[in-house]
Amino acid sequence: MKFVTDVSVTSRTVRTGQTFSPKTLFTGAEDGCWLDPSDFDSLFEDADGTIPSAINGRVGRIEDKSGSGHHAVQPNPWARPFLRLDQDGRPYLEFDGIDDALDCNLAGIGRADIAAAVTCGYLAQGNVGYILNASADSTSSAVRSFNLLSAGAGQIELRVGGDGGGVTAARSPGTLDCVSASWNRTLSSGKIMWGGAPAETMGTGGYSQDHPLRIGGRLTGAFFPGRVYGIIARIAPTDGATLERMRRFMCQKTGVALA
Amino acid sequence: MIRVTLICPEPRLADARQLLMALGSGPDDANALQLSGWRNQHTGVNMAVASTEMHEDWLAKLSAPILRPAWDLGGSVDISAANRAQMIVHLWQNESDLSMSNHEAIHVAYGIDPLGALKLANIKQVSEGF
Repeated sequence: MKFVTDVSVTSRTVRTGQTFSPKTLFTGAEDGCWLDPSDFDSLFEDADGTIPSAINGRVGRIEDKSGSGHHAVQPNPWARPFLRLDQDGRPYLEFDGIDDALDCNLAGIGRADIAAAVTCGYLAQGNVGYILNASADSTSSAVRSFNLLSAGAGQIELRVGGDGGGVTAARSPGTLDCVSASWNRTLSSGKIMWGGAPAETMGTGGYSQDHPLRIGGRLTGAFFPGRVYGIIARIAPTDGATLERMRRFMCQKTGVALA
Repeated sequence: MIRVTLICPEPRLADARQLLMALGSGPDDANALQLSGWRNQHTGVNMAVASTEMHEDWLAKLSAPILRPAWDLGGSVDISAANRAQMIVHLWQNESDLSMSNHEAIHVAYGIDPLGALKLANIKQVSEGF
């Protein structure tokens, strides 16, 4: 009886995200990144990481807290997002939709032979722009091997493997949101959760590119106007329970209600 | 701090980059303006754009005589080109200040939402790739 009670307490603690650290997602051979604007020690005004960022100041570098070394940087001072606090005191990165972007040298998310999981907290203002992108410099929508796109008119799209994969959902502009997804390209299977909603099946397409992850735009433009509260990307098979932990952690960071 | 948005026609990009270096803190400022899919809807000319928050004195420097910056010990900034760019700068902060008659101008919008500034200037993102 005591054993059952202990399991119950442990399970509840995990579900609320109080003890879960994304660091535990990267204890083995997993590649990936964990970018956390709420950890001010990981933020720097310059790309070299010598000047700590201040509230309402530029962010030219975010240290990757996964331990994988995939820091996100922006050498161009004009193209750096700003560190802001929302009305509830939550830190986020503000992207202006003009030129702001951070480049993270994490490759492989869009490749056809990998399994991966991503969760991202964001607020989109309704304009078109890429929140996350790992497709190369191509103008065709059919070949977007990985992207999280604010598609305008209240539509958000997460796409894996081109037009044949991914999900587009109606999401209200100006609302705190979180998307969590996992996929296995070799099995052509995936699942996605919008905010605190139940998981949906997500297909994956056949197109493959291997371009490093960019935050806030794609190489050819299409910059994102809005907020990013955090990103966890994990290149490894990720089961449903682990994805749920990632989702709950990010929803809590972002202030998104869970069901 | 004040929001500043630069809008530069592609033919003036080389000079504009010299101006940004002359006003900036190092060679990285030359990379501020990039051609990334923005286009003047009236003329069809590709436009390089950039936007950030700057100290107010940056606008004052934009109108003052251009001097070689202290960081440029090697003489990499082309001051003549920076001067050419400065001569065609059009500063504005609202619709009534905005003149689109000179298609060669380098627009500097200040104190205005950057996407709103581009909309007023009829600059739109090319839709390919969405």
